[in-house]
Amino acid sequence: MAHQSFSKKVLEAVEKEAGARGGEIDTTELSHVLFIQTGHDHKRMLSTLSDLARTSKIVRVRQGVYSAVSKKPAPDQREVMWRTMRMRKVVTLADLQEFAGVSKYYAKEWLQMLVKRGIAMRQGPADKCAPHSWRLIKFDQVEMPVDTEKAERLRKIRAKKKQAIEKRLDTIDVAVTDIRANLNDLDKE
Amino acid sequence: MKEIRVLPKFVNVKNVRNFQAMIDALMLSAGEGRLAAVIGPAGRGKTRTAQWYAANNGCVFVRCLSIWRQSELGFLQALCRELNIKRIPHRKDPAFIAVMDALNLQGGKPVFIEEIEKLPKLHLELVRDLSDLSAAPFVLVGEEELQSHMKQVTRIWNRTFQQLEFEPLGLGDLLMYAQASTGIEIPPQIAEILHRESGGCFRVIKRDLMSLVNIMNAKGAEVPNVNMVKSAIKQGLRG
Repeated sequence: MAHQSFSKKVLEAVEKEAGARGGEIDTTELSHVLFIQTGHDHKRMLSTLSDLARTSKIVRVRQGVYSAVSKKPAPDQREVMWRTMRMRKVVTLADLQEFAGVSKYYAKEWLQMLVKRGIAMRQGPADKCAPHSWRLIKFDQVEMPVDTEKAERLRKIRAKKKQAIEKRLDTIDVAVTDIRANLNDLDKE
Repeated sequence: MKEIRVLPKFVNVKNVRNFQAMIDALMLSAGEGRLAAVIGPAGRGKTRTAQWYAANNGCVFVRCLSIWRQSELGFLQALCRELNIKRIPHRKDPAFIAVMDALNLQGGKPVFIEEIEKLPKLHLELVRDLSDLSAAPFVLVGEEELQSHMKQVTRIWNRTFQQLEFEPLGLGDLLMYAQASTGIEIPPQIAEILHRESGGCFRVIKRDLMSLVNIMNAKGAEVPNVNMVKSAIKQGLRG
Protein backbone atom coordinates (compact mmCIF):
# COMPACT_ATOMS: atom_id res chain seq x y z
CA MET A 1 0.00 0.00 0.00
CA ALA A 2 2.81 2.34 1.00
CA HIS A 3 4.60 1.51 -2.27
CA GLN A 4 1.40 2.14 -4.23
CA SER A 5 1.09 5.63 -2.85
CA PHE A 6 4.79 6.29 -3.54
CA SER A 7 4.28 5.07 -7.10
CA LYS A 8 1.34 7.45 -7.46
CA LYS A 9 3.44 10.28 -6.06
CA VAL A 10 6.21 9.57 -8.60
CA LEU A 11 3.71 9.32 -11.46
CA GLU A 12 2.07 12.61 -10.53
CA ALA A 13 5.46 14.30 -10.21
CA VAL A 14 6.53 13.08 -13.67
CA GLU A 15 3.26 14.21 -15.21
CA LYS A 16 3.41 17.65 -13.60
CA GLU A 17 7.12 18.41 -13.78
CA ALA A 18 7.78 16.96 -17.25
CA GLY A 19 5.05 19.24 -18.60
CA ALA A 20 6.76 22.25 -17.04
CA ARG A 21 10.18 21.23 -18.40
CA GLY A 22 9.38 20.83 -22.08
CA GLY A 23 8.01 17.30 -21.81
CA GLU A 24 10.97 15.55 -20.16
CA ILE A 25 12.44 15.19 -16.69
CA ASP A 26 15.62 13.47 -15.57
CA THR A 27 15.97 11.38 -12.44
CA THR A 28 18.11 13.97 -10.58
CA GLU A 29 15.51 16.69 -11.06
CA LEU A 30 12.76 14.29 -10.08
CA SER A 31 14.69 13.34 -6.98
CA HIS A 32 14.80 17.05 -5.97
CA VAL A 33 11.11 17.50 -6.69
CA LEU A 34 10.22 14.52 -4.52
CA PHE A 35 12.57 15.70 -1.71
CA ILE A 36 14.45 12.42 -1.78
CA GLN A 37 17.28 12.48 0.73
CA THR A 38 18.85 9.03 0.89
CA GLY A 39 20.43 6.76 -1.66
CA HIS A 40 18.01 4.04 -0.67
CA ASP A 41 15.01 6.25 -1.47
CA HIS A 42 16.61 7.29 -4.75
CA LYS A 43 16.99 3.63 -5.72
CA ARG A 44 13.37 3.06 -4.78
CA MET A 45 12.36 5.95 -7.02
CA LEU A 46 14.39 4.49 -9.91
CA SER A 47 12.74 1.09 -9.60
CA THR A 48 9.33 2.75 -9.38
CA LEU A 49 10.13 4.67 -12.56
CA SER A 50 11.10 1.42 -14.28
CA ASP A 51 7.84 -0.20 -13.18
CA LEU A 52 5.82 2.77 -14.42
CA ALA A 53 7.63 2.70 -17.77
CA ARG A 54 7.07 -1.05 -18.05
CA THR A 55 3.35 -0.62 -17.55
CA SER A 56 3.30 2.25 -20.11
CA LYS A 57 2.21 4.83 -17.54
CA ILE A 58 5.26 6.95 -18.36
CA VAL A 59 7.74 6.87 -21.23
CA ARG A 60 11.49 6.32 -20.90
CA VAL A 61 12.90 8.78 -23.45
CA ARG A 62 16.52 7.72 -22.88
CA GLN A 63 18.62 6.57 -19.97
CA GLY A 64 17.61 8.51 -16.86
CA VAL A 65 15.10 10.70 -18.69
CA TYR A 66 11.34 10.17 -18.57
CA SER A 67 8.26 11.84 -19.94
CA ALA A 68 4.56 11.57 -19.24
CA VAL A 69 2.29 9.58 -21.53
CA SER A 70 0.17 11.91 -23.60
CA LYS A 71 -3.44 11.15 -22.81
CA LYS A 72 -5.19 10.69 -26.12
CA PRO A 73 -8.90 9.96 -26.26
CA ALA A 74 -9.55 6.26 -26.80
CA PRO A 75 -10.19 5.53 -30.51
CA ASP A 76 -13.67 4.54 -31.61
CA GLN A 77 -13.83 0.74 -31.38
CA ARG A 78 -15.79 0.48 -34.64
CA GLU A 79 -13.11 2.54 -36.40
CA VAL A 80 -10.40 0.23 -35.04
CA MET A 81 -12.35 -2.85 -36.19
CA TRP A 82 -12.85 -1.32 -39.64
CA ARG A 83 -9.17 -0.43 -39.99
CA THR A 84 -8.19 -3.93 -38.86
CA MET A 85 -10.54 -5.46 -41.40
CA ARG A 86 -9.13 -3.32 -44.21
CA MET A 87 -5.56 -4.02 -43.21
CA ARG A 88 -5.80 -7.74 -42.74
CA LYS A 89 -8.53 -8.46 -45.35
CA VAL A 90 -9.37 -11.66 -43.45
CA VAL A 91 -10.12 -11.50 -39.73
CA THR A 92 -11.35 -13.77 -36.97
CA LEU A 93 -13.33 -12.72 -33.93
CA ALA A 94 -10.15 -13.12 -31.89
CA ASP A 95 -8.32 -10.62 -34.16
CA LEU A 96 -10.95 -7.95 -33.56
CA GLN A 97 -11.05 -8.71 -29.85
CA GLU A 98 -7.29 -8.37 -29.68
CA PHE A 99 -6.94 -5.25 -31.81
CA ALA A 100 -9.99 -3.26 -30.73
CA GLY A 101 -10.48 -4.66 -27.23
CA VAL A 102 -14.15 -5.41 -27.94
CA SER A 103 -16.21 -8.33 -26.69
CA LYS A 104 -16.74 -11.42 -28.82
CA TYR A 105 -20.45 -10.65 -29.19
CA TYR A 106 -19.91 -7.06 -30.27
CA ALA A 107 -17.30 -8.14 -32.84
CA LYS A 108 -19.67 -10.82 -34.17
CA GLU A 109 -22.60 -8.41 -34.42
CA TRP A 110 -20.43 -5.88 -36.27
CA LEU A 111 -19.15 -8.52 -38.70
CA GLN A 112 -22.68 -9.75 -39.32
CA MET A 113 -23.62 -6.20 -40.25
CA LEU A 114 -20.76 -6.18 -42.81
CA VAL A 115 -22.00 -9.48 -44.25
CA LYS A 116 -25.55 -8.10 -44.53
CA ARG A 117 -24.23 -5.09 -46.44
CA GLY A 118 -22.22 -7.26 -48.82
CA ILE A 119 -18.90 -5.84 -47.61
CA ALA A 120 -17.59 -9.05 -46.09
CA MET A 121 -18.34 -12.74 -46.25
CA ARG A 122 -18.13 -15.38 -43.57
CA GLN A 123 -16.10 -18.44 -44.37
CA GLY A 124 -15.88 -21.71 -42.59
CA PRO A 125 -12.51 -23.06 -41.53
CA ALA A 126 -10.75 -25.87 -43.36
CA ASP A 127 -9.98 -27.48 -40.02
CA LYS A 128 -13.04 -28.27 -37.89
CA CYS A 129 -11.34 -27.00 -34.72
CA ALA A 130 -10.26 -23.67 -36.22
CA PRO A 131 -12.43 -20.58 -35.83
CA HIS A 132 -14.55 -19.02 -38.59
CA SER A 133 -13.16 -16.04 -40.42
CA TRP A 134 -14.61 -13.05 -42.26
CA ARG A 135 -13.15 -11.94 -45.58
CA LEU A 136 -13.37 -8.41 -46.96
CA ILE A 137 -14.92 -8.62 -50.41
CA LYS A 138 -15.62 -4.97 -51.18
CA PHE A 139 -12.14 -3.48 -51.46
CA ASP A 140 -13.30 -0.11 -52.78
CA GLN A 141 -15.33 0.55 -49.62
CA VAL A 142 -13.36 3.42 -48.10
CA GLU A 143 -15.70 4.84 -45.48
CA MET A 144 -16.56 2.96 -42.34
CA PRO A 145 -20.01 1.41 -42.68
CA VAL A 146 -22.35 2.61 -39.98
CA ASP A 147 -24.87 0.23 -38.48
CA THR A 148 -27.96 2.37 -39.12
CA GLU A 149 -30.30 -0.50 -38.26
CA LYS A 150 -28.78 -0.85 -34.82
CA ALA A 151 -28.81 2.91 -34.30
CA GLU A 152 -32.49 2.97 -35.26
CA ARG A 153 -33.20 0.08 -32.88
CA LEU A 154 -31.42 1.90 -30.05
CA ARG A 155 -33.30 5.12 -30.86
CA LYS A 156 -36.59 3.22 -30.63
CA ILE A 157 -35.59 1.66 -27.29
CA ARG A 158 -34.65 5.10 -25.94
CA ALA A 159 -37.94 6.60 -27.17
CA LYS A 160 -39.87 3.75 -25.54
CA LYS A 161 -38.02 4.26 -22.25
CA LYS A 162 -38.70 8.01 -22.40
CA GLN A 163 -42.37 7.35 -23.01
CA ALA A 164 -42.56 4.97 -20.04
CA ILE A 165 -40.85 7.50 -17.75
CA GLU A 166 -43.17 10.28 -18.93
CA LYS A 167 -46.17 8.02 -18.26
CA ARG A 168 -44.94 7.35 -14.74
CA LEU A 169 -44.27 11.06 -14.18
CA ASP A 170 -47.84 11.81 -15.31
CA THR A 171 -49.15 9.24 -12.80
CA ILE A 172 -47.04 10.85 -10.08
CA ASP A 173 -48.36 14.29 -11.10
CA VAL A 174 -51.95 13.08 -10.80
CA ALA A 175 -51.21 11.49 -7.42
CA VAL A 176 -49.55 14.69 -6.12
CA THR A 177 -52.53 16.78 -7.30
CA ASP A 178 -54.87 14.37 -5.49
CA ILE A 179 -52.84 14.60 -2.29
CA ARG A 180 -52.79 18.42 -2.51
CA ALA A 181 -56.58 18.44 -2.99
CA ASN A 182 -56.97 16.16 0.04
CA LEU A 183 -54.70 18.44 2.08
CA ASN A 184 -56.79 21.47 1.08
CA ASP A 185 -59.95 19.59 2.05
CA LEU A 186 -58.39 18.86 5.46
CA ASP A 187 -57.60 22.58 5.91
CA LYS A 188 -61.22 23.50 5.11
CA GLU A 189 -62.56 20.97 7.60
CA MET B 1 -13.15 -26.44 -11.42
CA LYS B 2 -13.67 -23.40 -13.65
CA GLU B 3 -12.62 -23.90 -17.25
CA ILE B 4 -9.52 -21.93 -18.21
CA ARG B 5 -9.79 -19.92 -21.39
CA VAL B 6 -7.25 -18.23 -23.61
CA LEU B 7 -8.59 -14.75 -24.20
CA PRO B 8 -7.40 -12.86 -27.26
CA LYS B 9 -5.52 -9.97 -25.71
CA PHE B 10 -2.87 -7.70 -27.06
CA VAL B 11 -0.10 -7.73 -24.47
CA ASN B 12 2.51 -5.00 -24.13
CA VAL B 13 5.55 -7.26 -24.21
CA LYS B 14 9.06 -5.83 -24.44
CA ASN B 15 9.09 -5.70 -28.25
CA VAL B 16 5.82 -3.75 -28.25
CA ARG B 17 7.14 -1.30 -25.68
CA ASN B 18 10.31 -0.83 -27.74
CA PHE B 19 8.18 -0.33 -30.85
CA GLN B 20 6.13 2.39 -29.18
CA ALA B 21 9.27 4.10 -27.89
CA MET B 22 10.73 3.97 -31.41
CA ILE B 23 7.62 5.59 -32.93
CA ASP B 24 7.64 8.26 -30.21
CA ALA B 25 11.29 9.00 -30.96
CA LEU B 26 10.56 9.11 -34.69
CA MET B 27 7.77 11.60 -34.12
CA LEU B 28 10.15 13.96 -32.29
CA SER B 29 11.73 15.01 -35.58
CA ALA B 30 8.43 15.98 -37.16
CA GLY B 31 8.59 18.22 -40.21
CA GLU B 32 11.20 16.34 -42.20
CA GLY B 33 11.09 13.20 -44.27
CA ARG B 34 12.37 10.22 -42.32
CA LEU B 35 12.29 6.47 -42.32
CA ALA B 36 12.45 3.75 -39.71
CA ALA B 37 13.05 0.04 -40.04
CA VAL B 38 11.54 -2.75 -37.98
CA ILE B 39 13.30 -6.00 -38.65
CA GLY B 40 13.33 -9.52 -37.30
CA PRO B 41 12.60 -13.12 -38.25
CA ALA B 42 9.05 -14.38 -38.76
CA GLY B 43 6.96 -15.16 -35.72
CA ARG B 44 8.19 -12.43 -33.42
CA GLY B 45 5.09 -10.24 -33.75
CA LYS B 46 6.38 -7.42 -36.00
CA THR B 47 3.38 -7.36 -38.31
CA ARG B 48 0.86 -7.79 -35.54
CA THR B 49 2.40 -4.97 -33.52
CA ALA B 50 2.54 -2.64 -36.52
CA GLN B 51 -1.06 -3.48 -37.48
CA TRP B 52 -2.26 -3.05 -33.89
CA TYR B 53 -0.55 0.35 -33.71
CA ALA B 54 -1.89 1.41 -37.11
CA ALA B 55 -5.44 0.32 -36.29
CA ASN B 56 -5.47 2.14 -32.98
CA ASN B 57 -3.85 5.31 -34.24
CA GLY B 58 -5.47 5.72 -37.63
CA CYS B 59 -2.28 5.06 -39.58
CA VAL B 60 -1.86 3.53 -42.99
CA PHE B 61 -0.52 -0.01 -43.30
CA VAL B 62 0.34 -1.50 -46.67
CA ARG B 63 1.65 -5.00 -47.28
CA CYS B 64 3.69 -5.16 -50.47
CA LEU B 65 2.70 -7.74 -53.06
CA SER B 66 5.10 -9.43 -55.45
CA ILE B 67 2.80 -8.48 -58.32
CA TRP B 68 3.92 -4.86 -57.91
CA ARG B 69 7.46 -5.80 -58.96
CA GLN B 70 6.89 -4.75 -62.55
CA SER B 71 5.40 -1.35 -61.89
CA GLU B 72 5.03 1.13 -59.07
CA LEU B 73 1.42 1.84 -60.01
CA GLY B 74 -0.02 -1.03 -57.95
CA PHE B 75 1.92 0.15 -54.92
CA LEU B 76 0.74 3.75 -55.36
CA GLN B 77 -2.84 2.64 -55.88
CA ALA B 78 -2.72 0.53 -52.71
CA LEU B 79 -1.46 3.59 -50.83
CA CYS B 80 -4.34 5.61 -52.35
CA ARG B 81 -6.85 3.00 -51.14
CA GLU B 82 -5.44 2.92 -47.64
CA LEU B 83 -5.37 6.71 -47.52
CA ASN B 84 -9.13 6.70 -48.18
CA ILE B 85 -8.88 8.25 -51.64
CA LYS B 86 -12.22 7.62 -53.28
CA ARG B 87 -11.26 7.99 -56.96
CA ILE B 88 -8.08 6.04 -57.46
CA PRO B 89 -6.04 7.31 -60.43
CA HIS B 90 -5.08 4.84 -63.16
CA ARG B 91 -1.72 6.40 -63.99
CA LYS B 92 1.45 6.76 -61.94
CA ASP B 93 1.81 10.55 -61.88
CA PRO B 94 -1.72 11.38 -60.74
CA ALA B 95 -1.57 8.48 -58.23
CA PHE B 96 1.67 9.87 -56.79
CA ILE B 97 0.15 13.34 -56.46
CA ALA B 98 -3.02 11.93 -54.89
CA VAL B 99 -0.91 10.05 -52.32
CA MET B 100 1.11 13.21 -51.61
CA ASP B 101 -2.04 15.28 -51.08
CA ALA B 102 -3.53 12.67 -48.77
CA LEU B 103 -0.28 12.37 -46.78
CA ASN B 104 -0.20 16.13 -46.32
CA LEU B 105 -3.67 16.00 -44.80
CA GLN B 106 -2.78 13.12 -42.50
CA GLY B 107 -1.13 15.20 -39.79
CA GLY B 108 2.27 13.50 -39.92
CA LYS B 109 1.09 10.07 -38.82
CA PRO B 110 3.49 7.23 -39.62
CA VAL B 111 2.88 5.08 -42.67
CA PHE B 112 3.72 1.37 -42.30
CA ILE B 113 4.99 -0.55 -45.31
CA GLU B 114 5.55 -4.26 -44.92
CA GLU B 115 7.84 -6.50 -46.95
CA ILE B 116 9.16 -3.82 -49.30
CA GLU B 117 12.33 -5.92 -49.60
CA LYS B 118 10.34 -8.13 -52.02
CA LEU B 119 10.19 -5.23 -54.47
CA PRO B 120 12.93 -3.59 -56.56
CA LYS B 121 14.90 -0.65 -55.15
CA LEU B 122 12.88 1.76 -57.25
CA HIS B 123 10.00 1.31 -54.80
CA LEU B 124 12.30 2.32 -51.97
CA GLU B 125 13.20 5.46 -53.89
CA LEU B 126 9.50 6.13 -54.29
CA VAL B 127 9.03 5.85 -50.52
CA ARG B 128 11.93 8.26 -50.01
CA ASP B 129 10.37 10.77 -52.41
CA LEU B 130 7.01 10.51 -50.69
CA SER B 131 8.58 10.93 -47.27
CA ASP B 132 10.76 13.85 -48.35
CA LEU B 133 8.00 15.74 -50.11
CA SER B 134 5.26 15.16 -47.56
CA ALA B 135 7.44 14.98 -44.38
CA ALA B 136 5.45 11.90 -43.36
CA PRO B 137 7.47 9.26 -41.50
CA PHE B 138 7.56 5.85 -43.19
CA VAL B 139 8.16 2.75 -41.10
CA LEU B 140 9.38 -0.23 -43.12
CA VAL B 141 8.65 -3.62 -41.59
CA GLY B 142 10.37 -6.75 -42.81
CA GLU B 143 12.72 -9.63 -42.23
CA GLU B 144 16.50 -9.40 -41.97
CA GLU B 145 16.97 -8.78 -45.72
CA LEU B 146 15.23 -5.43 -45.34
CA GLN B 147 18.27 -3.91 -43.67
CA SER B 148 20.68 -4.87 -46.45
CA HIS B 149 18.09 -3.80 -49.03
CA MET B 150 17.90 -0.36 -47.44
CA LYS B 151 21.66 -0.09 -46.94
CA GLN B 152 22.24 -0.59 -50.67
CA VAL B 153 20.67 2.78 -51.33
CA THR B 154 22.69 5.39 -49.42
CA ARG B 155 20.00 8.03 -49.79
CA ILE B 156 17.56 5.69 -48.01
CA TRP B 157 19.93 4.61 -45.28
CA ASN B 158 20.83 8.26 -44.54
CA ARG B 159 17.23 9.03 -43.83
CA THR B 160 16.66 6.02 -41.59
CA PHE B 161 16.43 7.65 -38.18
CA GLN B 162 15.38 4.62 -36.19
CA GLN B 163 15.89 0.90 -36.41
CA LEU B 164 14.33 -1.70 -34.18
CA GLU B 165 15.08 -5.38 -34.16
CA PHE B 166 12.35 -7.61 -32.77
CA GLU B 167 14.04 -9.88 -30.27
CA PRO B 168 12.95 -13.35 -29.25
CA LEU B 169 10.32 -13.20 -26.52
CA GLY B 170 11.87 -13.35 -23.07
CA LEU B 171 10.80 -15.49 -20.15
CA GLY B 172 9.25 -12.43 -18.50
CA ASP B 173 7.23 -11.71 -21.64
CA LEU B 174 5.99 -15.30 -21.71
CA LEU B 175 4.85 -15.11 -18.08
CA MET B 176 3.21 -11.75 -18.74
CA TYR B 177 1.40 -13.06 -21.82
CA ALA B 178 0.23 -16.23 -20.05
CA GLN B 179 -1.07 -14.23 -17.10
CA ALA B 180 -2.86 -11.65 -19.26
CA SER B 181 -4.47 -14.09 -21.69
CA THR B 182 -5.30 -17.04 -19.44
CA GLY B 183 -5.19 -15.61 -15.95
CA ILE B 184 -2.99 -18.48 -14.75
CA GLU B 185 0.33 -18.10 -13.02
CA ILE B 186 2.67 -20.54 -14.74
CA PRO B 187 5.36 -21.94 -12.41
CA PRO B 188 8.83 -20.73 -13.44
CA GLN B 189 10.18 -24.20 -14.35
CA ILE B 190 7.17 -24.81 -16.65
CA ALA B 191 7.58 -21.37 -18.22
CA GLU B 192 11.23 -22.12 -18.78
CA ILE B 193 10.43 -25.32 -20.70
CA LEU B 194 7.84 -23.51 -22.84
CA HIS B 195 10.30 -20.72 -23.47
CA ARG B 196 13.21 -22.99 -24.34
CA GLU B 197 11.17 -25.09 -26.76
CA SER B 198 9.66 -22.07 -28.52
CA GLY B 199 12.99 -20.32 -29.08
CA GLY B 200 11.23 -17.06 -28.23
CA CYS B 201 8.85 -17.34 -31.19
CA PHE B 202 5.56 -15.70 -30.27
CA ARG B 203 3.43 -17.88 -32.55
CA VAL B 204 4.87 -21.10 -31.07
CA ILE B 205 4.39 -19.80 -27.51
CA LYS B 206 0.77 -18.95 -28.27
CA ARG B 207 0.12 -22.35 -29.84
CA ASP B 208 1.79 -24.28 -27.01
CA LEU B 209 -0.01 -22.24 -24.38
CA MET B 210 -3.35 -23.04 -26.01
CA SER B 211 -2.52 -26.76 -26.05
CA LEU B 212 -1.42 -26.55 -22.42
CA VAL B 213 -4.69 -24.90 -21.41
CA ASN B 214 -6.64 -27.61 -23.27
CA ILE B 215 -4.74 -30.32 -21.43
CA MET B 216 -5.24 -28.56 -18.09
CA ASN B 217 -8.98 -28.29 -18.74
CA ALA B 218 -9.19 -31.94 -19.75
CA LYS B 219 -7.41 -33.01 -16.57
CA GLY B 220 -9.18 -30.51 -14.35
CA ALA B 221 -5.84 -29.11 -13.20
CA GLU B 222 -5.42 -25.56 -11.97
CA VAL B 223 -1.62 -25.58 -12.16
CA PRO B 224 0.30 -27.17 -15.04
CA ASN B 225 3.02 -29.75 -14.41
CA VAL B 226 6.05 -30.85 -16.44
CA ASN B 227 4.23 -33.77 -18.10
CA MET B 228 1.41 -31.54 -19.24
CA VAL B 229 3.74 -28.99 -20.78
CA LYS B 230 5.73 -31.73 -22.54
CA SER B 231 2.51 -33.15 -24.02
CA ALA B 232 1.44 -29.68 -25.11
CA ILE B 233 4.76 -29.11 -26.89
CA LYS B 234 4.58 -32.54 -28.51
CA GLN B 235 1.05 -31.86 -29.78
CA GLY B 236 2.23 -28.64 -31.34
CA LEU B 237 5.12 -30.32 -33.11
CA ARG B 238 2.87 -33.05 -34.48
CA GLY B 239 0.36 -30.53 -35.76
